[in-house]
Amino acid sequence: MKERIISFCRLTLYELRKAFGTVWMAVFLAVLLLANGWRLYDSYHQEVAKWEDYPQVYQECYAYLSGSITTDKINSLMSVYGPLQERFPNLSREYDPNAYTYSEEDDYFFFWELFYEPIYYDYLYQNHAVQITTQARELAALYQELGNSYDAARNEILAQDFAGRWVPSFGDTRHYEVLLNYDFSSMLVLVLCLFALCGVFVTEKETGMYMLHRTTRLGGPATVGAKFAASAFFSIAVSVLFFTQDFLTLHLLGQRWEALSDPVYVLWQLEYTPLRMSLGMAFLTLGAVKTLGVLCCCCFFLLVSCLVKRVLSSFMVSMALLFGAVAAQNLGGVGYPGKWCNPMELVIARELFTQDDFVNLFGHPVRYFLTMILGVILTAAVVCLVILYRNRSTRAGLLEGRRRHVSV
Amino acid sequence: MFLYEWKKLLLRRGGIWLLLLFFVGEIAISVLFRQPYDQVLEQNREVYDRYLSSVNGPLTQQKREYIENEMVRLNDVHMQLSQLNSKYYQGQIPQDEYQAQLAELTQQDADYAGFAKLYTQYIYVREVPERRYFLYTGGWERLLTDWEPDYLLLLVLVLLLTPVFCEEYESRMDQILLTQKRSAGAQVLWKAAAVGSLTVLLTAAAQLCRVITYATYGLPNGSYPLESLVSFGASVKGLSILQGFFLQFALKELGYLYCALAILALSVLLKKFALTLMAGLIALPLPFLTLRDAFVLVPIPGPWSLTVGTVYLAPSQELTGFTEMTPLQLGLFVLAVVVLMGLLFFYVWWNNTNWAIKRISFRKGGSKQ
Repeated sequence: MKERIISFCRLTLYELRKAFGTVWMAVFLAVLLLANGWRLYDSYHQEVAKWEDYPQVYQECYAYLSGSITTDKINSLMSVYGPLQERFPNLSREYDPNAYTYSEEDDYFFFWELFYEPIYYDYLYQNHAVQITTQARELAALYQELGNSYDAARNEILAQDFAGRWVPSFGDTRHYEVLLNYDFSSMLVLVLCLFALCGVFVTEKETGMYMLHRTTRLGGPATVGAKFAASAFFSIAVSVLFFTQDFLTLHLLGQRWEALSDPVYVLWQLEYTPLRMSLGMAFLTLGAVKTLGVLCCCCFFLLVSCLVKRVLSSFMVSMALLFGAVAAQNLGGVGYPGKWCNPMELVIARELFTQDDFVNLFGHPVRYFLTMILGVILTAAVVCLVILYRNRSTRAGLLEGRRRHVSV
Repeated sequence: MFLYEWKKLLLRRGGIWLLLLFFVGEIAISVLFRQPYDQVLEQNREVYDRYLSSVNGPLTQQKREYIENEMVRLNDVHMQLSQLNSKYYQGQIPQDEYQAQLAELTQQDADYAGFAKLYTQYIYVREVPERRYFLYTGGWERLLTDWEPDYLLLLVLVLLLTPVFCEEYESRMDQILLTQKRSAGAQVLWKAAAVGSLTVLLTAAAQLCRVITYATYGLPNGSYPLESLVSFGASVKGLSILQGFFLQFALKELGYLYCALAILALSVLLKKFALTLMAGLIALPLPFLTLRDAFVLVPIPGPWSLTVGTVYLAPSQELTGFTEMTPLQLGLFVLAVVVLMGLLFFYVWWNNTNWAIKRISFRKGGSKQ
């Protein structure tokens, strides 16, 4: 047994080296990492560009206002912002030496965008959550009376989700918002995986090696297993590399890290999220779901690679599938046929967690994101089974292969 | 040979299906993502057109008076309407009187939004009346301010042109071809001719698709100066709109031809399908997707910004530090591009001659010993 495990590991290592350990792979990886880094930098600067000219003012205001939200802080913010708000449409746009920024109007937008609105959101979130909880409890009781057990249970879970939610402190979240909405790295990872995996099964077919292969001791299931293991390892490694780069780059560019330990709903896009964890944990979760999505996409690439006869067609068909999946995810909206099989839904992970949705599964409310993850994993499992079936090394398979070979 | 290469490109490798998909995609994009330049103007198009028909062309003293008088009149009606509303809300007039006046004034005020658009244009034209004319600009603006390349066309070129050389390398045919009477050197010419003509046709087809899409809004008065369009207001080339359109179209053709040559050169360099496809994707569309700005790439004599074409017509921008090329600079730039394209072609041709192959095999043999 030990010997078999060792030989399997060696086979996997060999597959890894053969398929992914090339110079060109390293070159492409380096280029894509550079491109990703530039795009991250660019996205961050587009987000903060408007107020980048006043770092000193921002730093001073932020140092005072960040941290736990107190009445003193709100009062002092309102003492500056309040008068501006009252006169808002009639503020001057001329240069004002007494202003914090360039002009009065700029001051208004500066405080509104960077402090007033986020602090207001954080401060009122607790009330909002209490409201949702109370309403959900009332609805649950009502449905219970009416005998609708599904909706009663759904509202009960909703109430539990929102019970006791509050935002303890205010911190700069602009860089984390960029990170949440950043999809470019996922696309790069997918293209790199497409390039790496399109030849995994098809190269042997192209050179006619696969007939020979099956006659060797480890040629059958062991090789297919090794190919699977190597591909999975590669795609996970690339995903981790890119997603870590995303996080680290924006984290370091932002330089204000207080928000990372705040609850995940400090980001207004995740106001109604079902997650109850800190922002840092949420990014880990999102990264894991994205990686799972990439892994499932890779299963499809492998399937195409073992169905077609040439590397070129493998690349083209996989790419068409990828585009189809992206288009379906983008344009499909709430529902389209095959949604529960589309791994792109996991790759664009934030959309799974923006709403606290449920799916009616035999009368029980199941969280939407759980059903989605389950659906995609099941699809990937089916795809893997098809790949195994296509590469079976039973006698029938060999005979079929030989017949085909002769007829050619 | 030329026809045979075409046949190989389209029929034997199933390129025709790819092209079919490309055309379906182009049409779908044109139909799905068709957006007017100015939504408010399109809603008031009838009124705008009615006023425009009486001022179309260069600004004259007569037109100036007409527009300003009309503005005074309509502005008056507009003011009356808002006064009426505020009177009614303050309870100064009864409802039936309000409604009677409202109906009358609303009818008169119906032209205001459409005319306001023409007035904005008048303010723009008034600045440089010699080079800025009145015309409906929505269609032209949309057609000429598309600052992104046609990603679909780039993708199709990469997928379609990769096998041209790679197929022979993959099947080791290239060695046999060298032994023929009409050797690989001559075949490269035919291959390049087939690829070039296909690229030119595809680019023209893609451009035609866009032209038809925006012609539905209207592309009138092509002979008017390019500066009549707001986006090209400070252009220094002194072209007419149609000249500008054909110049950017020619640059686009050059750009996509350059792309095609680059793909051929990559395939000769890398020799493997997957490698060439990936390198093509990284080299051609990725810079745009990463930088998200075609203007940065303008001074680089690469294929990237040429595929957009219209950025070479765009006027200088103070904010970003982008400067427009003068006709002379543009000419020199195109010359440099042509020379680079010649070098690329020479590279492709050289690597398919007996002489180069002999040298490579000689060197390999030498290193072994």
